[in-house]
Amino acid sequence: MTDAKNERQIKISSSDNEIILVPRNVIRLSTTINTLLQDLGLDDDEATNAEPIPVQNVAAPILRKVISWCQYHYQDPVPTDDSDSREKRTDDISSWDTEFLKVDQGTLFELILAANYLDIKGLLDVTCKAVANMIKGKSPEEIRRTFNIKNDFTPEEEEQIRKENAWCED
Amino acid sequence: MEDNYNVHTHCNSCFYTKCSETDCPLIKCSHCFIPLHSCKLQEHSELVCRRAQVPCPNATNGCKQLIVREKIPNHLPKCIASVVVCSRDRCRKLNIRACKLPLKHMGRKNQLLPVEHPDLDVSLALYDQNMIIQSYNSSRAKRVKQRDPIHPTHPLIPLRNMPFDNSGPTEGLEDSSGDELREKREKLKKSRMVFANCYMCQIDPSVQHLHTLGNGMDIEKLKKRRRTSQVLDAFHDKLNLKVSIAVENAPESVLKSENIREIKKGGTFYTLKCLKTVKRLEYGDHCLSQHTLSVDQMNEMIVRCPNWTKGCEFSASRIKFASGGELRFHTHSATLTHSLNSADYKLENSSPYTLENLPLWAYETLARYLPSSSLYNLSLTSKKLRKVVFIGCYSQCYVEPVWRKVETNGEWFPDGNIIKISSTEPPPKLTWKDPVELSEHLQKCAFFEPVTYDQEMVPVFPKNLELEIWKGFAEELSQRMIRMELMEEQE
Repeated sequence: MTDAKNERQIKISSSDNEIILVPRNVIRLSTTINTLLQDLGLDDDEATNAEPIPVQNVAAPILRKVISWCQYHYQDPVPTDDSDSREKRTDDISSWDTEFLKVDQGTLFELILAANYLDIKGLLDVTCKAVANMIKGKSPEEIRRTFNIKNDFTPEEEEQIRKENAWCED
Repeated sequence: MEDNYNVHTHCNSCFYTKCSETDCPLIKCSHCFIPLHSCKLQEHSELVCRRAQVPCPNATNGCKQLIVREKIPNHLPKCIASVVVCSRDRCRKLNIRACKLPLKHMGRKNQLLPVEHPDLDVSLALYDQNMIIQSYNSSRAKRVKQRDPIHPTHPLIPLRNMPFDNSGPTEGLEDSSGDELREKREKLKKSRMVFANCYMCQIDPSVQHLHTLGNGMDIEKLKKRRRTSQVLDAFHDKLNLKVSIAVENAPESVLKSENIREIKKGGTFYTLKCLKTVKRLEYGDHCLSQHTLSVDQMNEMIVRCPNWTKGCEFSASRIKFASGGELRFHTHSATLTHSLNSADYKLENSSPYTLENLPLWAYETLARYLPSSSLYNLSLTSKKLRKVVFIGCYSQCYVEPVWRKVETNGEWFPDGNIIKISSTEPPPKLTWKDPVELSEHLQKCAFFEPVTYDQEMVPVFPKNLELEIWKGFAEELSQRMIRMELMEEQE
């Protein structure tokens, strides 16, 4: 990580054509853009890329939020990749992230989608944890209330699945 | 035929990779390329070959995957048909003996109480009581039939499903325990007969002998025994609880008979089995979160105010969850779940994204952060999410064969599979905590009845006790002296 590289800026444009400048080291967290830069050989020139990289699926407000997350986290140690199929813990969201995620539900879901599109593992992880924490320990009725889900079961169906919650194959 | 037999006797013992036998030539296995006699190829690929694709060992239980044989050990932990039925149980006892009859009456009418209660131990007791009530909603004959050597007094709850036995609960309000009482009375009558316990009568009733009188066995019964009077406390009465809130822990394999004090005293002891199906991988978590670290340590989780017998409902806890939150009991799935009191995110109508219209991969990712108890609850919210859980998060579900009975000969056969989701979760991390609230509560507990005395309080040992004794003595002495003097003067 040299100083010269630290200062190098990358231009990216959001779905609504807003151009944002990001330091090269910060955008490294996004595997999608990082691979793109490496594959296109854009890492070779020292200057800022003339043509902005289009990020078609993410709108400017969300993109700015994603970048602010990356700016705080780009120096974090790379998490060890645990391919454990078992459930992950969700009670370890850092206080900065808790503050960062004080947004409405729509934004939270859009952050998940953006994190996936840009392939930012840490952000996807923390946003999923936030959603999981909202679901955990709640009864079906409480989940409906939290996420504004309409109960579209008929009373008979509801009675049936309450008695035996099974899904028939075929 | 004989020729053929001779050829294969060679094959049976031949293990050469280069064998010149021409009647049954060597060929290579298409999976692992090992050369072997062609007559052995079928057996090899069906039972031996490490590279051949074979159905999962749980295929009969509903797993449809084909796996390369050497990868079966990797598959089994993830196998969706690899399930365990939990056999942990907990026991309940009646508050007082008189509580049994109302329980039976409630059972006859299938009168279940609402389980929701802020306190974990109370809602668990109410849930268990409802299970007991349901078991009384069947005829006595059915209950007696289901008794087993370990549970000779009351069968395991929940009762087994007996589709061939359609008998309902005993009709009318006549007490089914009338049968029991009649039996008992007859036994007593027999033992009261004068010579009932005569030793000689038992050995050879025909011989003439002198009877052993006095009915020796009855002496035990005649002895006066002090019995604690059985009074229902205000707490259980208020909550309409017939069973005690304290969970009785009797080892699973122990005989539930006269060796247990409750039964010896004439009460009833109920054993409730968990019987939840969970994936083998989750079983450890299930056992810890649903039994060992919750129900088995209810004494630590809920510390009641000492005035609870008078009706005080206050409770504190000696345990705190490391990540905050609380433990709750979900009745519909009979699961103890830990809920974090995390801030909920506000709903905003303008956003195009809600929990219901995310792409499928998002649910798959989310499912990795959710225990099956949450997925279970999610599947009960709406049709869309139900589909998402059972199809999108298929790997978190388990599969179970459905057994159907052939009406003609009474045999059972597996008829298709159903997908289910278990309802369990890993235990939250616990830390110790002082139940400070309890001492704060005790200072102002409304049920505390202080003992008050009407008389004025007198110090037991006044400070100048010695002096006072001396004074009193001196006074008495001087009075006596005066009296003596007076008497002398009179004389």
